[in-house]
Amino acid sequence: MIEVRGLTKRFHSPRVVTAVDDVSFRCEAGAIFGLLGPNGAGKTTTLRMLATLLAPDEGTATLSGCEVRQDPTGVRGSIGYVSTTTGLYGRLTAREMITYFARLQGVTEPRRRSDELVERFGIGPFAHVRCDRLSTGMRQKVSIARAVVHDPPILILDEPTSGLDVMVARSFLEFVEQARDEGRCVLFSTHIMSEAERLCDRVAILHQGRILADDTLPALREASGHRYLEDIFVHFVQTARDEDA
Amino acid sequence: MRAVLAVLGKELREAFRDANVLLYSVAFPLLLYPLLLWGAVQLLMLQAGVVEQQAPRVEIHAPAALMEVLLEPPLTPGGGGLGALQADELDALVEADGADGGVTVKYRSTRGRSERARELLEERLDDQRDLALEQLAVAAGLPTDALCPWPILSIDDAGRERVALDALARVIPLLALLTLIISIIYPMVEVITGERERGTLETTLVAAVPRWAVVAGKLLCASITGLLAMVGNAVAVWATLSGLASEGGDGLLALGPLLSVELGLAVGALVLLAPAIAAWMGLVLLPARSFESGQNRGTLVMTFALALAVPCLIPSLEPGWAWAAVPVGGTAMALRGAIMGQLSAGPILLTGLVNLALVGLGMFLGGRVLSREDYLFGHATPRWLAWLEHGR
Repeated sequence: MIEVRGLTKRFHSPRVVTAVDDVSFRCEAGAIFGLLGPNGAGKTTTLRMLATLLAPDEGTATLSGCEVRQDPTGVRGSIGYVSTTTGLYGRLTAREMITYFARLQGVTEPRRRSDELVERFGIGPFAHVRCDRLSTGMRQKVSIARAVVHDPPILILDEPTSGLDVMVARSFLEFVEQARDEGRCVLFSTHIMSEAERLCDRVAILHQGRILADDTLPALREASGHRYLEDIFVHFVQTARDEDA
Repeated sequence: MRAVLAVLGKELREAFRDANVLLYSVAFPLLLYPLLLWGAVQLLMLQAGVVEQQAPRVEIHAPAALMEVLLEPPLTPGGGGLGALQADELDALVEADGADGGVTVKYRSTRGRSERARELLEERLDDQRDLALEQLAVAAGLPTDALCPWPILSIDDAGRERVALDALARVIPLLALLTLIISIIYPMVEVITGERERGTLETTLVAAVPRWAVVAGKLLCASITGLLAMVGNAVAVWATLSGLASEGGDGLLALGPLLSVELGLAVGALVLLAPAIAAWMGLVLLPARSFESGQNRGTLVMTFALALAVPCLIPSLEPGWAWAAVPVGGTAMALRGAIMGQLSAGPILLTGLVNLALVGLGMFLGGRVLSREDYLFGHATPRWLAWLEHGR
């Protein structure tokens, strides 16, 4: 569903910084793939390249059969993207926001689809409230509804629980699990180990733009000799630092 | 087209819920500007009435007989000499006892009351001169009008309607462009810089729509807002002026004589100018990273555009082919030429085509900027424009 090969991104501002360095991974339908790494590891840059917001300098990325540089519109049509900031238009109501994205994505009956999602995500009580007056949890619900309005087979979630309280984060994680059960391919970036441990079928540890490990959690446990993901993460990062030194 | 309409609908909905847009693009053109015009005219009329009621104070140094004739009401005697005139305690100073036999009237043209004193004094002095010449002619045994200069009667062939039309032909294009540009600034800053500052553009750009459609939707929103404001302002100003004219018993504001094919074409060129201005304003706004910087850039574009339109006020510049290709100025000249009936359809069509080309080029370049990755996540401001960035 998602196949990434040798993806590299350099920024020139003003010295050259390699934000993502030869990253490769594969994520199947009906699975959650976690990109795990500290701030500045290159998670967001990788996800932005997959969402066609950034162009890779090297490598290829294919999502639902569409390559990011050759068919960016095809890629955009097959992904639902949720970033750290919810990106909602403050002067639109929750329902208008969802309907707008339904129209933008070419959904045939935007109002009906909007009603469905309002019902599904429990947005009804605040559907007519402007987005700039919604609480963080409400905004996150609208943001998810916006992202899945065109029923995309792939979800790209960039630290979606950042800044959410426990209850809202919990309901969000339930949604991610539900998306996997529906057969979607979910690419999920986080620096919260417990979330990755709970959700991910496969985890890639990203550090300074490079993937240090990419496997299922049991396999990573076996390779590192540690039980908890936090210890596994520290193990691989420390090993990489030792090798660099 | 579906995506353009979706973006347009959303942008219009947001724009008309924004207090700044409502203020600058709706309230000001429809209410404030006509109200200011009405107030200014009322103030001028009031001032004229006050001057009319005040008796001008004059000091006259002349033989007693002449002084008696000149000092008839409403003129009243004053004193204090030149110092009093300068201190606004006297409105005119007449000296008719000079060695050369001439009469000098000193007054201040900046004061209405003083100006009125001069007019009255000159009228009376003219009468006295004619009377003296008649008396001299009679004494010489000549007909009474023998020494009088031949009367000169000037008749303005243009007529009042034509004079009013000429004034309107200069003012209307400038007023229309001013309203259009001012009303475009806020929606454009909102849909370009505002969206970038709030970080909402990222979510739109991830949708499966081409970049040009996003740009087109935004430009159309600002253009429609600007055109609505301009039309609303024109109707409100016309109604205000008509009201004032009917108070004075005039009927100078009949639109019938103005209507022509050329005027229709010029209005078409003006309609195309709205997205052209929006497109180029958008290009200048795109690199702005804050709302404040966006406002600075919008003001810069407005000043530049109005500078191009100002030549339509210069009487010696005639509308024609040379002006047709000038952005903004061409449209102003086309409107002026069409109102005055001085311009054929050809140059006006060229102006329309230039505006259309500006829209296309602006949209193309805007789409290219939006496609640049460093636009969203980096510093896309060219160095030569960086000084506009707040805090740099």
